[in-house]
Formats: sequence, structure tokens, C-alpha cells
Amino acid sequence: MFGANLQDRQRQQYHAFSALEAFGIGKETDNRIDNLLIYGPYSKDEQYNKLVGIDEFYGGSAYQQFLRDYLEGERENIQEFMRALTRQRQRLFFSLPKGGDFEHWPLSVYQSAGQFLDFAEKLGSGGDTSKIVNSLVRGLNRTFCGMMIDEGSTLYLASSGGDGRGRIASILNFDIGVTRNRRDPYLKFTLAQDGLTPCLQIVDPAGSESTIIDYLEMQVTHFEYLMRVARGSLPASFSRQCYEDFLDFKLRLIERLSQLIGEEPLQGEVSLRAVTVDERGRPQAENIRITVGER
Amino acid sequence: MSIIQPPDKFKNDVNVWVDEAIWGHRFYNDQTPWLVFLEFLAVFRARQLDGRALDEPRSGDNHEAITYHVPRLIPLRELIFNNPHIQHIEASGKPDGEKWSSWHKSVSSDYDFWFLRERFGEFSRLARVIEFFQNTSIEPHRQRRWTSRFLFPYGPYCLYADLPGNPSGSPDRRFFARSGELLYLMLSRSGSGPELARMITDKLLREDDSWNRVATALLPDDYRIDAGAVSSSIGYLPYAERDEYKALAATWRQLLSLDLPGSTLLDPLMRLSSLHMLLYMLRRANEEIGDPSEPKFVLEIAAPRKTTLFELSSENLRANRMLSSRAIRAHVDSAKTDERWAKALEARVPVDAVRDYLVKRFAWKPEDGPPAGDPDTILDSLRSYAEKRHAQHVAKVHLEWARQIGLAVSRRGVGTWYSPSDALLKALVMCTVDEGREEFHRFLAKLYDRFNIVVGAQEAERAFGSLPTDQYAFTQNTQRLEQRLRTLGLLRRLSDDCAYVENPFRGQA
Repeated sequence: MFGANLQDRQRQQYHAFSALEAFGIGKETDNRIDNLLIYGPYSKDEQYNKLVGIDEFYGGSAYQQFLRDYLEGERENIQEFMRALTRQRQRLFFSLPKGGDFEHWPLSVYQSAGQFLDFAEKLGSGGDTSKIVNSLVRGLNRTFCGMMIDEGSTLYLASSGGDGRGRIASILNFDIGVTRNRRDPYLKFTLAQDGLTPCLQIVDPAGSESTIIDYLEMQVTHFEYLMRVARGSLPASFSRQCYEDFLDFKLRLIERLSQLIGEEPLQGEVSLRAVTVDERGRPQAENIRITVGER
Repeated sequence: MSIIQPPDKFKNDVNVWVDEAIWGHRFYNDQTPWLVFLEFLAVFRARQLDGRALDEPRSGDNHEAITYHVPRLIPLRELIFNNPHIQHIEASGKPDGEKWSSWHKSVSSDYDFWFLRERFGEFSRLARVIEFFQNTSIEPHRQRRWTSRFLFPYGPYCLYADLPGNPSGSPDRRFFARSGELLYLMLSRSGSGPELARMITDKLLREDDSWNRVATALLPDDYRIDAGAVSSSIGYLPYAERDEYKALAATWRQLLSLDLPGSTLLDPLMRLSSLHMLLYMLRRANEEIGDPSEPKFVLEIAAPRKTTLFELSSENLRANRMLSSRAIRAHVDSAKTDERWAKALEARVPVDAVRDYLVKRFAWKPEDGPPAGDPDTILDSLRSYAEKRHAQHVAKVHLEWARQIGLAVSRRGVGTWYSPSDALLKALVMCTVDEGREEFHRFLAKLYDRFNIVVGAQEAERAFGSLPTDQYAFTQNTQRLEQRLRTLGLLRRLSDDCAYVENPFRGQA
């Protein structure tokens, strides 16, 4: 399945293997499952017997001997032990029963992939997605403003000044609701044309046929990134790509919204909104008015 | 390609007219690509006010005679770049009124800044706005005099002249050294000047930009923008028409038509303009030497271990850096193929005749008095003087600019070679990928067609005639670029195993 019988260089020639490898199955660790694998045989854990011990060939017996050495403090074959654990995690990824105590997605890079599929399914069937939307918007707000914002019901589009690529954006351009609105643009999630991928859309209800101002198809990496950012961590491995994707999306969106609903500059006055975050993570917008002499 | 005769006054101003004859008046290493770009904008703005932006017809075979006026905007610059106490006073926690008065005491200026209180209301707002402008200024890490620090060009009121330490003195042309004028001339001679001027006006220099308007709020009501403006006449660019001007204009047109706010286009425009100008310099040098080959940049995409491409790339960079000095020698030596040289040798006193000829032809003003010796010795001393002068500034432009735009890197103990930065890669994708996406290998071919950039084996074969090193090294190089573009969100490999480079700012909606 993962081409483990091939040498690295041979394996890299096959796109299928590198695509599967990107899931990191076996390499990614999950504390609960690792606990089960390491201490399960000795704690007479029922789960262990059901999930690992039961398989006589590829289950517990395949790594017991390394495990004993490891637990007794022997470190000589540690590499072999790690490889055996990797194989066990891979085995579990495919063999964990659905709806059991353990989820299999945490064994991959895409820990939220389960939610991702769930989300797409609900978008298709019209189920309740509000909780996930709330997390996604929170992740977006943190990415767009560079601040620890805890707000998932309004999308804040802020810019950093200069060329717009600064990490911290404190000048608020637009805030957009996530509920359908008759007058103002709003954000909504729907399925992309393929009927599978969730898609973020900014909709302008004032346009002829509810014009879509811009959209972003949510790849599983985007989804994972936003969910992790919403939970408070910034995963280094794919954060770079996602950050760039979202930043480009933001810049494009600000440009289009300015053309569409940007306010006409007032005579003799500039009005700016600076955004800061209070101690509870709520964004605060402060209006700054500056009188401008006529030139 | 016809050469335009330089205006006499420029020739009179320099000690020898060699660098300027080859590339124009002038390229200068202290002027970084950002400053080239800002100088260009300043010239553009001045000509825009005169109704002539990038629309500068020449009369007959003469060079454009353009005089332009750039404001000084001293009060604005004092507030932002010469206002060291403001953040300290803001942090002092005093009541608002006291902050205003202690700040006024701390400012030493010819201007009375009390008007700001009425405009901003609270002191902390002024402090925030000043801090914002400081944080977003151009090249903030460089230790330049405050009169050579620049605001991010949000709009026309953020453009002003580079000034010497005494801001009311006349400019010393150190940081605005006329390369921006050359950029202006190139675009104006590209054949698409007026079209570009409209795009620049709409996209880049918007009067209604909020920050542009905030900048005007920092100028006193009675401040006259045109008072004491710096007047200059534009530099010299030798060729009336060149393909490089057209290629440069195409890049500008492509970037300006992207679906992006103008402010985000400045960085890619700055990088790619300088890249085009570097190519122009290399091609001109080749022409002087009589080398028909095309210039090239072999990029090594950063790798965990030293690769064979690293050697190739640093060798390539070394050769490109040497090229300009070779051009200087060739240009001086070309004096001997002229019939005036032969005539001078036949004159009654050949030494005097040769000296007169060289002094006149190269506007040469020997520092140690008239050179002596036989004709060849005189030519030698002219050549070595021109080389010495070249080595001081123009010779350094290639590496300085290549590093600044993210085309080359230098590491102590490792060397200097061509290797692209993320920002440059992004700029290249933004400008090269027109239709939203482009197949990866076609993208590589386009990079070579437009910018003479070599990454993969095919382009290397085209550039060198045959593969300069083993194919595997190039294959790995392209794979590393693919990986790099993917992490920048600029590339996707689809299920049919085709990799596409994607321009995130085109082809959507």
C-alpha cells in the first residue's frame, strides 16, 4: 500500500506512493493509540485484545519482542522498535472499527479529516454545520488579522498597510457576516461543482443573481489548517502554503469589495478603523477620524 | 538600433564618458531597486501633473529634453522620520493635553505643528498614525539619513525628492541617482507609454487612497507643495528603441492588469523592473564585446546539500559580473578601429592628435593633467582610468541589485550564486502565468523566454547549446522548484500527474 518494500528512490518515482506518504500514516502519533500499543499488553486492556492482540500474525505478536526490550530499558534495537510501531499504526489506521472508541484520522496528518468529510456530507444534505463554520471563521480571522481572535460569527478583513503582506493586519477594511443577508455581502459555505469539496463563497445579495464576489475551494489541507489555527496551534509543515493561499484570497477579496461596496471618501475627512483584540479575544474596532485639509 | 547623441551638458559633468555611453546616465550601486522604483514614481508623478506622463515625443534625433519638479514635503518627513520622541511621550501615560505640549517642546522644526491637534484630536491617534507610516516605510532596516528615508508610496503625496543631510540644500544624487529616470525613459520609449500611464494612474497613484489622504493631513494648510521643489533634467538613455523596453512594458502591463490592489503590485513591479534592467545591462555589455550570445541566469533552487548546479550558478554569476568591465575595455578599445584614430596617427604630431581625439570622443578630463607617452600609452591610461571609475560603482550594480530583488544570495564562506527568493518566485508567477494556470514545464520555458532564467535541463540546453552538467542535476533542480512553488501555494499536481503553476490573482470568478 505504501510501497514500503521499495527503496526510497524507486518509491519516489510513483506519484501514488508520494501522495499516500503525504498523509503521514504511521509517522503521525496519537497519544491514546501509542499508549494502547505500548502499555496495552500489560494492563490487560480489553481494547488492546480486541484491536491488536487478536491478530496473530500482524498484530501484537509482530512487535512484542521489541516492546519487551524497550520497556526493560534496552535501547539497542530502538530503530527496529520504532519501525514496528509505525507498522502497527498503519495497521490500525485501516483496521479500527467505525464508530469505536478510537478514531483513525488522528493517525494521519489530517486530524480533522473526519470533520472535513462530515462537513461536506452535511453541506450536501443540508445538515447543521454551524459549529464547524464557527471554527473555520475563527481560523480565518486569526489568519487575516494576525491576532488571537475568538470570534466565529463575523469575518474580519483587515490589512497591514504597505504591500499588504505583513503578518499583523490592524486596519479593518470590511467585516462580513456569516448569515444570509439581504443587503450586505455575506459568507457562506457550499459544495464546489464536483459535489464533494466544500467551497467558501462571499456572496453579494445586491447583485442580479446573488453574485459570488469570490470563492475559495477548501482542500483538506486548508480545512486542517483552519481547524488547527482555530484550536490555537500553527502547524509548521503546511502552514506556509495555506497562509499564502489565504493571504492572496484576502487581498483579492479586499480589492473586489472596495470596488463594490467601498465607501466614497468623505470631503475633508479620513475615517479609518483600527482593530485590536480585548482580553477575551473579541475584536474591537476603533474609529479614527482625521481632518484633512483640502489640496 | 539607432543611438541618440547625449546632451552636451551631461558629458561636461563627468570625467570620462564610457559607462554612460554604454548603458546610460546612469546606473549606480547605492540606488537599490526600491529607490529606482520610487525615483521612477516621482518622475512619473511630476510629468503626470504636466500632462505628459510616459508620453514624451522626441524632436528628430534628439534626446528627450524633460525637466521635472519633485516636491520636498519636509514637514511630513520630519514628522515621520525625524521625530524620535513621539512614541516615548505617547507611552508616558500623561493626560492628553500634556502629551501634546511636551511633544511640541521636543520638536525642533521650522514648522508649527499645533495644527495637528485639531486634525487628530487625541495625541495617541497621531502617534499611531506616525508609527504606522514608520512601520510600513521602504527598507526600514537600512541606516540612511532621515532625508533619504521614504514612505511606502500609497499615493502621490507620499512621493518626494531624495535630499542631502540639510533638507533645503540641493540633492546630491546619491540615492536617486537617475536609474529611476532611465526606467521612466525605457517605459516611455516602449511604444506603450500612454497606455501604461493610464494603468499606473488608475492603479498605483490614487489620490483617494486613505493613507495618501492621511499623509496630506500631516502637511500644514499653508504649506505649498510646489514651493522649493527640486528641479532636474532627465538622464540619458542611449537607444531610441530596444526589445528590452518592450519586454519591460509587457511585464508592467501584465502586473497592472491583475486583480489586486495597487499597493500589493509595487513589490513585484520593483523586482521585475530591476530584473529587466539587469538583462538590459548584460545585453548591452555583450554588444560592446561583440559576443552574440544571450545572457542567462542559472538558478540553483535551494537544496539541503551542495549540488553541481551550485558550481554552475556561481560560475555563471561570476561571468555576468565580469561582463561589464569587459564591455568598458571593449568600448575604449573601439577607439582604435575608428578612422579618426588612423587619421590622428598620420597627423604632424600624432601624440597631440590622438590625445585631442580621445579627450573629445570620451569627454575625458584627465585628473593628473594631459597624459604623455605614445598613442598606445595614452589609450592605456584612458582605459585604466575608465576601468577604475567603473569598478567604483557601476560594476557593483549587478550583484547589488541581483541580491536585492532576490535573484542571488551571498553566504559567508560559501560564495555568491543565483538562487531565487520566495518573493521573486511569486512575482515571476504573477507576471508569467496569464491564463490562471500553466503547465509546469511550459512555465519553465517561459521563464527562459522572458527572463533568460535557467532552471531545468531543456532551458539549459537552449542556453548553453549542450547540457553543461548531467541531466539528473537539472531534474532534481526542477523537482525542488516544484516543491518550493507548492509550499508557496503556487503549484498543484493534479490526479493525471500533471503539475500546474497557478497564478492566484488571475482566472477566477
